[in-house]
Amino acid sequence: MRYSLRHLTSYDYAEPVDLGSHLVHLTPRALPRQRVLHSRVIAAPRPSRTSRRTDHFGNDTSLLFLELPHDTFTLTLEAQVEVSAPEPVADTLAWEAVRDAVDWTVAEFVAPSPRAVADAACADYVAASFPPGRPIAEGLRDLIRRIYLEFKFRGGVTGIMTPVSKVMAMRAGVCQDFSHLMIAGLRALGIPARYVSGYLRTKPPPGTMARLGSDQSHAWVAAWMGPEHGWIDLDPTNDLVVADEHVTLGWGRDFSDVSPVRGMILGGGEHTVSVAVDLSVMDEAP
Amino acid sequence: MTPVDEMVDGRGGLRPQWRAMLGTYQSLGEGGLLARAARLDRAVADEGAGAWRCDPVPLPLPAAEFSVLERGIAQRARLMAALAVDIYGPMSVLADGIVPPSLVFGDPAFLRACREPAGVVPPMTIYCADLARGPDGAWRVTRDRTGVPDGIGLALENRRLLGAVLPETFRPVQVRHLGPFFELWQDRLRQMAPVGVANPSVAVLTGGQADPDWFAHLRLARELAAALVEHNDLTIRGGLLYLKTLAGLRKIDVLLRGVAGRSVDPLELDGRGGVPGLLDAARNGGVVVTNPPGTDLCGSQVFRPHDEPLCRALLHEDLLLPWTADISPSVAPTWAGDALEPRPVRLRLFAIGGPHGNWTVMPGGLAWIEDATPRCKDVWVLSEDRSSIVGPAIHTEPPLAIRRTAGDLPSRLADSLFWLGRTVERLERAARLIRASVARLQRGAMLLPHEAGELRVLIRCLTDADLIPDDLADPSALPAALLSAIRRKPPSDDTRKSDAGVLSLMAEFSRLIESVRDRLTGDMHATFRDLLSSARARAEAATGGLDALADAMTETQRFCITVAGAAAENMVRGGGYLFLDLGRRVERAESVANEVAAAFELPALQLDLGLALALELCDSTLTYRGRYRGTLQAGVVLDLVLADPGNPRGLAFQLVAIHALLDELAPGAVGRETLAGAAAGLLAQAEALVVGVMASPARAGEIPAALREIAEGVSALSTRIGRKYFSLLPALQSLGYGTLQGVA
Repeated sequence: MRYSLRHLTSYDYAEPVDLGSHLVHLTPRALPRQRVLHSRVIAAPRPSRTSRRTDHFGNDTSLLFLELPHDTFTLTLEAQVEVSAPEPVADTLAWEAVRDAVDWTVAEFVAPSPRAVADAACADYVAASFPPGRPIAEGLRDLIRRIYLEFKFRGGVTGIMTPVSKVMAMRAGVCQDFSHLMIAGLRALGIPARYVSGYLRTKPPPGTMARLGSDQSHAWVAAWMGPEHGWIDLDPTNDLVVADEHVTLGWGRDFSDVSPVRGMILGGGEHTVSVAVDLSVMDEAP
Repeated sequence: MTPVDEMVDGRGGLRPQWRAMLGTYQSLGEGGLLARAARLDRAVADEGAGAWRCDPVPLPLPAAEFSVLERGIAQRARLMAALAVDIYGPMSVLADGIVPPSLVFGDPAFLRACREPAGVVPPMTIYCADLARGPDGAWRVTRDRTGVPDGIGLALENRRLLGAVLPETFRPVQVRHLGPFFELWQDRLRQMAPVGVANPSVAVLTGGQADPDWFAHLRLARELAAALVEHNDLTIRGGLLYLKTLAGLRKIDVLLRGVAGRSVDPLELDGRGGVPGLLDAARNGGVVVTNPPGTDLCGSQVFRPHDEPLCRALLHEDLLLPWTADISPSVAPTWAGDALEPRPVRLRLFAIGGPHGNWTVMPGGLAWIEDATPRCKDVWVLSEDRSSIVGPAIHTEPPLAIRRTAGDLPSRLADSLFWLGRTVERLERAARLIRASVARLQRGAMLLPHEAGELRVLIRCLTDADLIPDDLADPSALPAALLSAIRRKPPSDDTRKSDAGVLSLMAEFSRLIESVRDRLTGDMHATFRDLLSSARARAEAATGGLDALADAMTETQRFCITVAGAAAENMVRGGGYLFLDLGRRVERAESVANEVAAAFELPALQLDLGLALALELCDSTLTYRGRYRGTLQAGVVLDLVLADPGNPRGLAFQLVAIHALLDELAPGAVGRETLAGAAAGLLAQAEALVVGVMASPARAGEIPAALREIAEGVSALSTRIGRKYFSLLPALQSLGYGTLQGVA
């Protein structure tokens, strides 16, 4: 599936900003199932300095430094990406065997991380999908179904700092909360899990239900199924095994590693931020 | 097993290195040692260096013993440096299973932003180790410190203090100097500078006065002839690091890190504080940060059980100096208040790395005494070679601070000095107004009508200064209000914008004095602190009645006068003193204008009374009597308090001084719109007012409004000074991505 992607982030400041520094994860990642045909990020006003590098997780990151006074800051990502669905997996290892097969290349995703901290409630909740001997893929699919059915998708009740324990207690949140919850619980079992940042196609495929969270940045989970099957992407917000409706920007241990945009400013007073995303199938694009 | 005694060998004999030293201590006698120990404690306390104390008895290390330690420390330093390069680079120690991955990935000191899987990992150049000598007589490392040179400044200070207080103890032994080590370090720091920098500048990054190591950082910065900076002093422009000074931005080429690696760059790291963009600047060669921020990780104790395989894998060597968690340290004679007693000691040694991975160990160090109060010993590395000996320590005086002109002054320091000046002046005014009020209240029922009028003026002045509540209409409530003025809290959180009670002003003084600590001599700092603590104690105790209050305020006033005098006598003109003086003059100009206005706001019938009070408030009664005898005339009174540039308590004097100081800061700037021009304009306003009243006494009614206008002009000038000279200082705010999808 070919997509045309447009992601606009815009900051409005009450007072001029004298110095703005921004760390940006806004380039779709080249992957075996994701071909990046074209991608560029336009910043306005133009930064005085830009540094690009590949981060520890292999994501493309940019640092943008604005050294002249400005009242607004706008970042526009424009990209064309081709995504193909993975082969369905069968005969996966029992989850305990996955846990025991963890090696140094995936160990980082079992270690705790700042935003995905499991409390007992979270660990128990996730463990219920993994009775002894259950194949990992089956357990994962059961888990995303339960999260989808038992948690309410509700905006505004959580923020970027909301801990997993609170999401567990409220049984509500958004994609980021469900992802952190699932990641924390899987790690508590010893299963490597990572946070994936990206987008979901705006209009669902004909004949399917409307998707949740498609008009904004999206987030989901990748879980490790052992050395043979590797990583599988799962969207607990929509009860989907990721196929060709998602475009990946990058991944990390949790949101804090791959926030699309974060920054520090000098001056500026109060600010407002607005975000708009459009991910259209190429021949449907306006 | 019984711990080893550093002084006596197993057979009860003195070890040779102690034999000569002990003789010196014995010749001092117990009383002599007591006196010297007390002097050492006092010297440390005078430095305001925190809780640490220096023991009068050093720990000597014979040359042969040190050379074994030296090799072991240098090897551990190489090992730690190689470990950092591997973890931040190829991670082969994880791939090869030498270190469990969870030790790296689960540690908050592992900074993913510093990973360079394909690039070059910058080298670690500073290493410290804590050691203890076990019952078997062998030294072992108990902790590696791979982040910042913790305590190296204290080692310098211990050596200086011992040299000053106990010079004779250096005579019988041959102690190696610390000087050459720091000279080498200075050279190496400058060699480390980015390619193409001709005259590199070095700065030491400290966490500020709240940092427990702040004094040690200050000491180290002075020794290395480096600037001492906090993250708020720094900014990144165009991928280069700059210090914000009054003269603009000054480039820094090498930053010696004294704070945790994770708090140097809030943009890429999750720690608090730091300079956004510092990691990017360092990565791209704009500045060298040493130790590199990621190295803290290597000192983590969790790696230590893997030291031997790590050493074989990374250095292809066997480990010379092993680590242990569990050791009962040796004991060394330590001053225990009345006699020398054996106490457990741990040694800290320091090493710096050179350009080719060659490490140099400092011939000295610290020995921490395991005791309730933090105390340490100087460590003497003894020399066998006569040629490398000098008698007492060469550093008997603190090294000179770098000479700076006003332009080199960091903006943050200028800001603190300016507010220090204003705070001293506010404190003085509070004490003066309270005393003047108490003097009248003490007459009790005998209060004459004119005194009641004066009290109303004083109430107005006290209200203006926020010392008493706004709604105090009834003078009978004044005594209680004055007593509570001591503890009155500032009306807003921003103590700078509003006045406050006496104790709050003292607390602000105390905070500011610490933040400008490196601009004051040790004596000045100690004097200020001692006087403040006694003035504060008196003020706190003045709860009983007006007599005690008056006495306490007299002491507060003396304190303020001493501070002003000591600053004027001891601080170099042009640098920090300029801003201190500017702050005082601005504050005084504003309060003179307001107080004289209040005096003239009395009904016209009581003009004489207003004149007398104006003289009293401006401390000019004696001067007036000397010039004009007892006759009060509005014109000449006003001339003395408002227009006479020779009266240091009058308005004109302050405005002339402000003009001169602003002119010195920005020489050659002319015109009314400049800061100096604004000061000159205010002076002209004051002069015109006096001339007008002299020509036509009926115009005296215009005085209050005209003076309030001048006071507002001074306040506006202060705001402009702030904007011009300290505007680079606002705090950073972080910008989140706001919300993720679906969150409205």
